[in-house]
Amino acid sequence: MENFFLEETSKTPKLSFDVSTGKFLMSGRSIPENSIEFYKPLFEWLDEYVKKPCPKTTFDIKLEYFNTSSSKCLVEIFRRLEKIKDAEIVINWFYEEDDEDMQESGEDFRELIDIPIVMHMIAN
Amino acid sequence: MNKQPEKYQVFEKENEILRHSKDVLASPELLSAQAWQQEYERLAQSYAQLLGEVKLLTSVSDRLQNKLNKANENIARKNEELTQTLEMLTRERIGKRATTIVLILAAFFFIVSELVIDPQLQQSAKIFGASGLIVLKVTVAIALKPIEMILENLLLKTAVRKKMS
Repeated sequence: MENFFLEETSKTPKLSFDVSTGKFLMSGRSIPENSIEFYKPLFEWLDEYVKKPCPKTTFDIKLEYFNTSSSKCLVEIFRRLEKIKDAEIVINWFYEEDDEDMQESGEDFRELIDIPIVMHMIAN
Repeated sequence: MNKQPEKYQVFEKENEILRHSKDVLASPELLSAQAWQQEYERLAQSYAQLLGEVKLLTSVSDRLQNKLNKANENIARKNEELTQTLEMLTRERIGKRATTIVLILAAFFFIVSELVIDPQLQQSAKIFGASGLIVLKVTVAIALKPIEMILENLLLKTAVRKKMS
């Protein structure tokens, strides 16, 4: 299984999913024209990953902005990660000090998802 | 079931649940009482999950809308500031141009008056006196300011008209 990597653009986030270390990163903006088309390859990659995950998976999310359909795709990503059993998984949700919206969004996800989401404030 | 537009494919899982439930309802005789209960439990579980997601999406969506509204208000305010600054700059530039024109006119009038009008005024001074001559020159000098203002307004109106067209 190969790593999953996509470079950041003005409308799509950087996606870096390293299968050997279990370190995942999503950063930037997520406002694709068609969210499902953009995230579908990642869903498929995750479907494979959850079958044989790393002993520890760390997922860092450093999003500046995302649209509503991207938030649904985020739920889908988290639902896939919820399937990981017998392995440690943690989601780190990063938000700027003055970005209350992103902080509250992270808290909303924390309430819904059955994986520990750790909030990290980035000081300006 | 009709093919969903691409943007709704994000609800593929939910569509699948709905499709399955409809199939089950279409042939109720195929299921035992226990199977019905299991189906109902599964549906209730899916509904609870979907409700949680709808709450999250609504909350995120409202927050994004607020963020956009704030950004729009900020842009409108910056636009207003920019317009005001541009107007001030235009006024400043036109004022400078009007002053330059008036200075050139003043220099021109000075040369003309020294070479042509002054000798004749010297003759008139014999009639009106030296003070009459000074009053006349001061009047001409004072008149330069209103001329500058009129000229500035004229240039400003021309600039606005040019901007509108």
